[in-house]
Amino acid sequence: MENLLISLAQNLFPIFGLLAVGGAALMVASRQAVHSVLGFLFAMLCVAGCFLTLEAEFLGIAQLLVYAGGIVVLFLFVVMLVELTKYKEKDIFQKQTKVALLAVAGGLLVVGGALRNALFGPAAKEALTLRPEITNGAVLGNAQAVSRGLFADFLLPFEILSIILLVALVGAVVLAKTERV
Amino acid sequence: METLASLLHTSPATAWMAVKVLMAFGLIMGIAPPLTWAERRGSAMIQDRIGPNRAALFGKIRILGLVQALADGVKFFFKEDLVPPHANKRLFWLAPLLAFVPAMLGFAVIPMGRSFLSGGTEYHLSLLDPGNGMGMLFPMAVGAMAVYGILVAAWSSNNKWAILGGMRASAQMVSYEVGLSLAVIAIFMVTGGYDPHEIVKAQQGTFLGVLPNWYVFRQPFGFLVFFVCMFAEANRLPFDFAEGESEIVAGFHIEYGSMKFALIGLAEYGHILGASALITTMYLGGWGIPFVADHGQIPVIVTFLVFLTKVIALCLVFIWVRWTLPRFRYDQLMNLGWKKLLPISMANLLYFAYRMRG
Repeated sequence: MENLLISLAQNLFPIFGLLAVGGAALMVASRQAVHSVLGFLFAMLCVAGCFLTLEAEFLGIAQLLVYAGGIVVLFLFVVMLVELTKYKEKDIFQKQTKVALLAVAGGLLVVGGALRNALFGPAAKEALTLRPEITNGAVLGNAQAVSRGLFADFLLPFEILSIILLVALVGAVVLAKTERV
Repeated sequence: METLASLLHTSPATAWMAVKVLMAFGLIMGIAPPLTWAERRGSAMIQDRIGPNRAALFGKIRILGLVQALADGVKFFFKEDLVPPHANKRLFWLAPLLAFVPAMLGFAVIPMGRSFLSGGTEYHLSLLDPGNGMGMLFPMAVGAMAVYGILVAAWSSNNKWAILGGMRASAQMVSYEVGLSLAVIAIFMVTGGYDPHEIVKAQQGTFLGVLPNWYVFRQPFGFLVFFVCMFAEANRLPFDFAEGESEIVAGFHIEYGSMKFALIGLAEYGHILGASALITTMYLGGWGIPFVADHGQIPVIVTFLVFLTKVIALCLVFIWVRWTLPRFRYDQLMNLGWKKLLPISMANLLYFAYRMRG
């Protein structure tokens, strides 16, 4: 019994990874929009599980809180309100196969190239970690490591990202308010 | 611990984990049925009625109607399991699980008593040991999952009342999470960590010489916001917009019956218990006994009982509030959440951040 548990525990990362891929496949393949969102939710939960198995607990919980707890709820909310099977939205959302295939092929090229570089290319001179004095230091939880990364090492990219998000937010408000102005 | 482990042919760590799982699960499943009884008898007391007192074991033993919970349980198991013809069958089946599981999981990091030493190893009374990196973020994240149970139940029932209830509930839960998180961050900041064991430790001793060093006294406004938001998160009156029986019949679970309904009901009581446990741990000193400086000498079972007492007292407050306050109107709910609670908790956060300046 304990051996089974141990072997399961050692292979949690591939298990969660495969489940995440399964959730993503469900999301793409299902006809019903709500099923798609639930598949997306399942994939997000499994990605959080992957983070947990990699001892990145803070990231895993942030994934749960932000994606599974916030963003997917809003998706589900919108999808439930828009009945895709009846109305003309069907033409907009379900006739994009060609464009989608192109986009996926482009995405695959980029990700595949990056993966190939990472797996078969020359090894990087430095490991892909935060600054060594942070990670090798005394007992620092990964919340500290993440916040050091965000607010010290990568402050500028972080701020630029927040500005992009802010622009998106303002844009959404402007789009939604056009009738009243 | 070692003797128990050797009896079960497992390592002490596994045996202790099994004990803790049984304890956490048994605690919720053991307290929820008496809570339904307390809810009914309490409402009867508040409304000057008698309440359920007819059910009896062997036709004699009534115990103030406590047997009613047992009768209800039996009824739930033996009722026909109906699925409405126009419902989305798979999701209709999935929804009670989505509601039930998060309600059970939130307990995993809550320390229910003092950690103790046995045979050279330290054992903790929380399912996940301290220093797991998730800390109090875990119950928050899992609590945020609860909204899916409601949304999926509402949508899959294919019923307009259910959809209305689900929409109202999810908008409410998402809105109140913001103020809730800001209130909690103030605690994490003052404690210097978000591990529940640290938070409980940080609340031992006295505050201003006369009060226990609990966050409820040190951050009263944060407590107020957290407490109110917990009612919204647990979908309890005065914020029970998911159900609102006078407006939308029974809301998101209108189509549910038999054991599925029981699971949704259990999830609600699980949320009340979870909310009480969170409030206890973060604002009421957890298992700590007020005015006791050194908890090392106090038996573990006493700290567990102290924790349990605080949790059950808070559960009774939840019931008391339900039968005392009327339901809010929807715009009042949103006003309260965004225009009052959010600024209060933000001001609370800024005040404590200002006090911590180096």
